[in-house]
Formats: sequence, structure tokens, C-alpha cells
Amino acid sequence: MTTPDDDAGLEGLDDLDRLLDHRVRLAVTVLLSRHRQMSFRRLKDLLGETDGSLGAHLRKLEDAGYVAADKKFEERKPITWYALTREGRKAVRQHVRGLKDLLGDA
Amino acid sequence: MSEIERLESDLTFVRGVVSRSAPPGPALIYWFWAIVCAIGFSLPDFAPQRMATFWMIVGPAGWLLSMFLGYRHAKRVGQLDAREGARHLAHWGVMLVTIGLAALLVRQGHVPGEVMGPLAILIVAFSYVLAGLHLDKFLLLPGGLMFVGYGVLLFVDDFSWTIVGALVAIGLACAGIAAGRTVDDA
Repeated sequence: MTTPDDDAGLEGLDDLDRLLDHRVRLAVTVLLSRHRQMSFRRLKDLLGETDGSLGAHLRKLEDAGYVAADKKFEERKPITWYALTREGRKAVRQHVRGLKDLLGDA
Repeated sequence: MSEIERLESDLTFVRGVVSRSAPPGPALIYWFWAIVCAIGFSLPDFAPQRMATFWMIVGPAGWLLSMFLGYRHAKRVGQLDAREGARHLAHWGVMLVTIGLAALLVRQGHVPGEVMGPLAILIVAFSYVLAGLHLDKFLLLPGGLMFVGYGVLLFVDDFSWTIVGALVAIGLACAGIAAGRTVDDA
């Protein structure tokens, strides 16, 4: 349980992007900032999430305009590719910078 | 758990995921080059007149084939990374260009022709070790074995090129087995 003392001096928390304040969504955006495009299956394998959970996280990122989905058929199988948008790239950069400042201060 | 501990735990999780996200190249590429090197490096011992033609065709063609196999593998894995592909292309492309430029030394008569073989091995060994350090760790073993092969060329008289070919082929086959296992585990 978090006590007031635990979070003393963490004013920077408010500067963090609330949408990226979840490890799965943060990991998705960091992965997509390193690799141009990743499939749903690849993300699922790397993150160890269920289809439903990962789908929900990706939908939130899509709704915020951070991630763009591209549905394709390859070898007759549907594959959804995800890529970071310019807005998403900017958001993850700011969020990671904020985290570094915060953890550096703490 | 405090907010700081949670954030640190999240970052550890993200770091772990990112470190697992760099898959090795397709095993087929290592096996392809193992066969090419076994044949190509033994040519000076058995058919020296065909060596130059072999490498002039198979070198660039293999480079293009590797590019295609790498792209197909990336699509299958579900991770397309243009920047990473460009780094690989540039790395191996520069190696080919360097070998071509070194060949000019022989062509212009600055160094005797027999120097070209060991010099090419040295350039390739250097390129493999650098690739092993910066692009794909599985290339360290074949790169190291190429340096051993360079020593063989300097100190062994009979079938030295065949020995080099065998060493490099073994190194690449080991890399192929390791890469295949890693992809299967992923």
C-alpha cells in the first residue's frame, strides 16, 4: 500500500502520460518505437498477454491515436500489423523522459 | 509497493521485453553461407581457375538472397524493422565493396596475386566479428574461426583453403543450429 511518505517528492508523476502508465501499453509503444511494424501475434508472444487483454490495450492506444493498425491477409491468414504514429512516438519519448527525471530524482 | 517501486518494476519489465525482441536471422541464411563457404574456399585447392568467377557471382547473389530471406523471416516472425535491415545490408555491402577495393591492389600490381586470398579472409573475418558484436551474436564463432583460418593459410601448406572452408562451414552451421533453436524457443 502506498503511503504519503513513499511518494514524497514525486510531483513529476502528474507529468506522466496516464495512458502509458501501464506496463503493457508502455512496452507496446517502446517496442514499436524500436521496430517499425509488429504483428499482434508477435506482441502477444513477447508480452505474454492473452488475446483479449492485449487487444484491449491496443484499442486504447489506437483510440488515443498513438498506434495505427493495418489488417492484411498473408498466405490466406489475417494478420494485424501495428505501428507507432508520429503522435505516439512523441508521447512515448516524453513519457520515458519524464520517467527518467522522476526516477533520477527519487 | 510504492509508486517508485512500481515504476521501476514496470521499467524492468519493459527492458526484459525489449531485450527479447531482437530475434536472430533465419537459420537458412547461416546454412546457405556454410555450404557456399565450404565449396568456395576449397576451390583454390581443387579448381583455382573457377574461384574468381564463383565468388564474383555467388558473393553479390548471396547477399541479395540473404536480404530476401531476412525480409521473409521478419514477416513470418511478425516484426518488420527497416532500420535493422538497412544496417545489415550496409554492413555486408561495405564488406563486399572493401574486398573489391582490395582486389584493385592486385589488379594495379601493387601487391602479388597470392596476397588477395588471405587478405579477403582477413576482411571477412573482421566483418563477421564486428557483426557478431553489433548485429547478431551468432556470427562471433564463424568470425573467430575465420581468424583461425587466416593462421592456417599462413602456416599450413597442403589443403589450407579446404581446411579454412571446413572451419568456416562448421562455425556457420553451429550458428544456424543456435539460431534455429532460438527462433523455435521464441
